Amino acid sequence: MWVGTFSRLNPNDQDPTGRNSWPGVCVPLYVKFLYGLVGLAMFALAAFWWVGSPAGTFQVDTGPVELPEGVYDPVAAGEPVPDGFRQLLPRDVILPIYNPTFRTAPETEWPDDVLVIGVELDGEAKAYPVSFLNRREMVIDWIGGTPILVSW
Amino acid sequence: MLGNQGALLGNAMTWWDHDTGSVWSQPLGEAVMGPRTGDRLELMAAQLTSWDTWKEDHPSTVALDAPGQGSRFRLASMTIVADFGDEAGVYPVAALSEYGPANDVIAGVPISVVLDPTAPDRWKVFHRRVGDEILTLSVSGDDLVDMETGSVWDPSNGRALSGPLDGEILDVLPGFTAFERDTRTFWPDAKVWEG
Repeated sequence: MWVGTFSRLNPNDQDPTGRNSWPGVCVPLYVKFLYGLVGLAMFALAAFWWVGSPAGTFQVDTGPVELPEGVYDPVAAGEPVPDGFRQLLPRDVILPIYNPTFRTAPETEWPDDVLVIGVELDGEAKAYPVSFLNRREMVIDWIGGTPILVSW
Repeated sequence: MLGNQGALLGNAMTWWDHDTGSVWSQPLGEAVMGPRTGDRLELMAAQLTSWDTWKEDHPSTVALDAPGQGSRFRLASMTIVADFGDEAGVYPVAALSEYGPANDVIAGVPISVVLDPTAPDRWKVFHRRVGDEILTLSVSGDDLVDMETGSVWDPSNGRALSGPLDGEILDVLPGFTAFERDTRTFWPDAKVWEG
């Protein structure tokens, strides 16, 4: 299924049983989709979150998120930035969904034409609606025992 | 564990990892700043499609417990990218819709980028090889066929439904969707398929 030219960061990091304890490094697999954000749109999204207007409408439980403190930031440390790099917001102001919850398909009342990112691995299939990912951009998840990042 | 860096690179988002703080480019899946610079994450095959089509192909699917609403994004205006590290190909969905499957070779891998002739929001990147034979996929009426044997293939899962290769399965390779303008930024050397 995989094309061999992608290198896994650390093949020993997968822990299919450790669903609540993340590997020490990064998720080894990700689902990649481009979102052609312009700066203005990014600021608009941020403002959306700061005023908190959608909070009452989201059903996703983000759970207790313990973000690590004091982690190195190459931008703050003054590393040279690549061409086209622009730091617009502090980290995680647009908060990823760290603890996603799911419903079965019959329990899900989405219109048929809702655009989704679908992932299937080892017999397990999951769908993530783009309209929601527009706001949260990242979902940290597992599928078929494999840690994944879904990113829009 | 990855988080949102809050920065853009080439107008696309970036991530940070909780372990080293390195900054990662989303479209490249590669760390561009910090201790992990140059490391790449493994890309996974996924679909951008309608909920209806996804359910049909995966009846036991679960769905993120979140509102699902219409989107201004349309697959028809996007491109499918096959990025195998050494080489990448860009396949505009509009061209696939007009000319049929793109039979190509990327980084030495024979691939076919396919839209389902009966459901154009269903797409796949297949490894178009069975044993030693390299296949050329094409559309005949509502069927996906190969020109070498005339076998009919299921565009949703790569299984041959009839013909000499009945029962054979084409591997699905990781591909993803991107806006055309972003493909020019992140894969400036990629060949763009025009039919």
